[in-house]
Amino acid sequence: MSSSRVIKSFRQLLNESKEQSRRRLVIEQIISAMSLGVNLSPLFADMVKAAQTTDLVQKKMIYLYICKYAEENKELLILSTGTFQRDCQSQDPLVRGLSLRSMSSLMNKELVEYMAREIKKGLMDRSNYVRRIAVLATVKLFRVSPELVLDTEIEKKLYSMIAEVDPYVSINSVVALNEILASKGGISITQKIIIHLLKRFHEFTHWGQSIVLGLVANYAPQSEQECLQILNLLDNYLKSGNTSVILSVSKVFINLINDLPNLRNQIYDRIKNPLITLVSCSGDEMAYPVLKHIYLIATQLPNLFANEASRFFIKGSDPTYLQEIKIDILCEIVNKQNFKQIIFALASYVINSSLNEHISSYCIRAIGKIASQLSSYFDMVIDYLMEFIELDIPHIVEASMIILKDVIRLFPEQSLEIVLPELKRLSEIIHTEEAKVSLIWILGEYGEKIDEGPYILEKFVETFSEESSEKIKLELLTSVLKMFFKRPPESKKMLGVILHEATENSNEPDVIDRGLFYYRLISTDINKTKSIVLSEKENFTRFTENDPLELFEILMDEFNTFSVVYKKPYEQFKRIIHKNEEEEEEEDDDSSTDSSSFSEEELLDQIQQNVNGLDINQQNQSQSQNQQNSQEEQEIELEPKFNLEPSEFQNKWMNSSHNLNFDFELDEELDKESFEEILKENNFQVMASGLIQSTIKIFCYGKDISSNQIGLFQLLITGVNVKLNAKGTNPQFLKLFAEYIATVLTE
Amino acid sequence: MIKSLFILNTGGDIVLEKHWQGRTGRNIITQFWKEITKENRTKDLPPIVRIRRQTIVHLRKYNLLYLIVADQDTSPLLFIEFLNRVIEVFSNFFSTEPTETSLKENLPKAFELLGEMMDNVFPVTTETSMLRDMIGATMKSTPNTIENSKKFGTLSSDQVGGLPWRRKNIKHSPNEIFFDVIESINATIERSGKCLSSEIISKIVCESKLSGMPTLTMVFNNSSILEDVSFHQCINLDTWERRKILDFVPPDGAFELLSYRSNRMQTQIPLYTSGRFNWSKKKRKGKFEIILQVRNSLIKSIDNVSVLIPLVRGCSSPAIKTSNGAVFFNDQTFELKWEIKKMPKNNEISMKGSIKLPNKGEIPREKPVAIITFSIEGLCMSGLKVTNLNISKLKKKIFKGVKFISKSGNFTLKF
Repeated sequence: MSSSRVIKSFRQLLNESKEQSRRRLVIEQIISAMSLGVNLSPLFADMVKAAQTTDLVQKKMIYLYICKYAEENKELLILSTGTFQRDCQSQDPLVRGLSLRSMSSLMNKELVEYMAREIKKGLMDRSNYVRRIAVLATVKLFRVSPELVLDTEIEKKLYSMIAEVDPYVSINSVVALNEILASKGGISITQKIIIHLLKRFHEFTHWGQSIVLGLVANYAPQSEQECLQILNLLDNYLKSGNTSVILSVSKVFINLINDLPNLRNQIYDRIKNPLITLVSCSGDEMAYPVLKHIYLIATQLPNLFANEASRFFIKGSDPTYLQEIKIDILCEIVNKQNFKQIIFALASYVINSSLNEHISSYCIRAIGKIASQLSSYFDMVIDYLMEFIELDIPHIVEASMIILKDVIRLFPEQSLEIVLPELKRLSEIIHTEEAKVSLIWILGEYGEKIDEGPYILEKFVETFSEESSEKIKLELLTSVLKMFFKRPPESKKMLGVILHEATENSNEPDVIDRGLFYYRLISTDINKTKSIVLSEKENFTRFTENDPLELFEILMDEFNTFSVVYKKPYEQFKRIIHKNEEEEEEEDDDSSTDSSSFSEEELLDQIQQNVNGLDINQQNQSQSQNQQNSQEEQEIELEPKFNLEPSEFQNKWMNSSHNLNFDFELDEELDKESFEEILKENNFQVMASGLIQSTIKIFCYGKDISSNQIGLFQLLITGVNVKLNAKGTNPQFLKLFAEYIATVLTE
Repeated sequence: MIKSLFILNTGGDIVLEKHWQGRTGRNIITQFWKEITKENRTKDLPPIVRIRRQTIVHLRKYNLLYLIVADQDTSPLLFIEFLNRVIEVFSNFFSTEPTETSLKENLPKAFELLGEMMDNVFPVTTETSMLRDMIGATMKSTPNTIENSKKFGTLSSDQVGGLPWRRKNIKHSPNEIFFDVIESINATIERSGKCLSSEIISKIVCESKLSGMPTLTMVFNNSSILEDVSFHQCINLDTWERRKILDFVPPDGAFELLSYRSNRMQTQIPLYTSGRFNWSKKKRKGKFEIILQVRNSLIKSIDNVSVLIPLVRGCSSPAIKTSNGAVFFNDQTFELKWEIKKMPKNNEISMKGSIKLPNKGEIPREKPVAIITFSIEGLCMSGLKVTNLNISKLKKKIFKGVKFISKSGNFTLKF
């Protein structure tokens, strides 16, 4: 059915139906069709006319319609203002509220004058229900014309309305002010407001409570006694029936730890059980973010959950995302007491055929990770890995060999004793690519320690020409070369064969290249080649895949937000809205009214997005090139009396487009005070500093005189190791800036 | 903050969309749908995902997919909690589960509800009993005009001091309130019958039909059982903290009063289970035996017992003897199910037999597990008892009652 025919028939129905119950039915049909995606915009004038009904149900539906199509019918919208205004005078508070809410949702610039007038009246309305709606309408008005709200009587009125008896009005005023004043850091949180809100905390709905808790989390109590008062008052709410309230209370508690460090363990103990209860009592969707938070806490306090390991054992009915996070938690809370229990559980998941392949590989990786943390038990881990390999199930063998390789890299001496005698047998039973690559690497690195080492490699070389995997070929080339230098008599022939095969009979350019490279290397200087190939390797103790510790510190600051779920600080994923993106979104809407053109629309959209993305990249590139040229010979010199307000600093820190990490070492250890002194001497401004365990953390900034660029940075100093994280708007400047900081500190 | 809500059917079509701030294009939904239906997905899509730099929180219920497009940095729990509320409120107002059909029939009402549940970008009123004030549940059949709307639209919370979860002037006849204490036991049992781990997850649900603003107090014999507890908002937390009694003004209608978790058991696990299962390589068969017995100490009867054993693909020809009950084998899902309507007292019952493995393929390394379900009326495993239930501020005659049900949660026997 084409939409023009639909519209015609609806219009006819609207005109014909006189009886209220029938009209209501027609309008219901219109709303249903609208939500199916049929474009009913042309009915606008008819619907505005119909809005003069006295039937509240019809009115609600018609207002819903008007809000949806207002954008496309700007010129007709003025017709509806009469109805809106009349309804704002109605006897019935439900009608007044509805009218106010709908009108303020129109987001129309032409109507702001009407809106502002009705909102002001609404704020004084005798009905709480209308006042509630009027308060939130101020936010909508603010979005269209901020100047009508900011620093006006409305703002003042909102502050006074926090004290109202009706809990909804009170909470809505807080919400509204927080959003209106967002650019100034939200509502100004005074002790008076906090006390007022906490006193009547039980009156608020769960949502209201969550909002108040959000404020309390940002509030700095003025004394230890006040901290304790808040703690005691909110403690009960860890038993709330609403998970969002429980997590919000937890956040307040965690923030209070900074003021009450001696209560740290007790406070964490308080939030432990409610969190565990949430996991076992709520649905999968709820358990997921809660487990993410438990994981985060576990990274900070591994022992807190150590006795609860069995709570994080996985069930066959768990969705994969829950299984993953539970395994992550098990890796964090493992200690000497629960080690066996956890490893045993993980090993049983590996071979449990009802769990999917992804999870069994995930468990094997987890086992490897635990081995790296608790080195004294690595032999048990190796036993398990060897067992898995013998199962001859491709994905398990694959994952186990890779982990086996890593464990050997971590603990070469001890683990080789167990693994080396098994290498020959392993070489006969493994088939998959990655597993073979790992085995060949082990052979190249340590194969000379066993008699048959070169011969196992030789077996692989024999089938080199039939090998289809480029990865295996490359690894084999390297390993054979290493073996040649360690066991020349047995390997000489094999090296000849493989170099010949690689350079003469291979099709893969990389294999040919590497073959030729080795060939030339050997023919140039065989002793040098040896020293290159067998160069001493650095011992390592931590996998680079492991997350950096400071990440979790940042995440603790962002407790109870999406950052914890994504395991990323907010600034890394927050949505930066570009001008053209917003337009693009609006275009989405126009076309979205007709659902039939889905795929085409999507395609166009994607193309557009790609094109836009390209342009931006190119621009950025050329820009930075220009700046590079102009800045190449410059030295940094900082303005001595440059000053940023804390909020400005924070704003810049969160919003700077470029980020640079830079690690360096100091010649000698210094204390916090000396660092600050050095920085100040060089015209850096210290924003904040602190000591977390033995790590010194300093936030600093400076402004370069010649380029007028501002750079912000954070220093994390542990002993002589310094981690620098600098931020700014220009990548070239940032690099110079970071180098300059490093020079200042090392000299 | 919640920008938009979409509800999709099993085919990915949008059944309902509601926008609270600006408008979210449908493209993001198309892309999300692609994500969630990706073939060969080895991982389920987590309930919180990022698509096109926006956050989508979603959950599935009654074959509908609810998703919220969220912006800004707020509590993820809030969104999931809100979705759960939406589903709950829909069920209450539609008087049936919100399925695609019932949602389509009730679309205008759904929009009306969503309009009141959230304003601006934050949830406001999500309690069914409060929403009834704003949305006449009976409107559909008897049209209310604005003139006579005062009859239903008196907005009780306008009267100072109203509670967020209960409106004033509720009238019922007869007046009655019933509580169900439902305890589910999660346990893993070894083949010898030894219990490896167990916990009890419980809740008290209530159906309240009381007039006015009644205050209830509930006293327990042993309140220390309620250590890991989460309460409905109506419960006065201070009284609980000080005197360990529940003091509350209940919402109207059905609601969950509290839920709790407990590791301690007053009694033994009421149903004793043991068994063995072995794969015989030679005969390519699985041989097994399961024994069940009611614990002597148990006075109540155990009903609706079933033992489910999921077997490997291709198993066939079960040969089974049982002392009681009936055995079914599903050759599509390869599940063996033993059902006993009522457990006999005093003597043990058993199921014994074998099952054939397919002729080809390996002998499974893993033994299956048996998933056991049962229910016991009148029993409370944690030992919780209500010693006193008092209703004040209500003069009329009140029918009240507390019922206990114990049942299996995740109850498995490992061979």
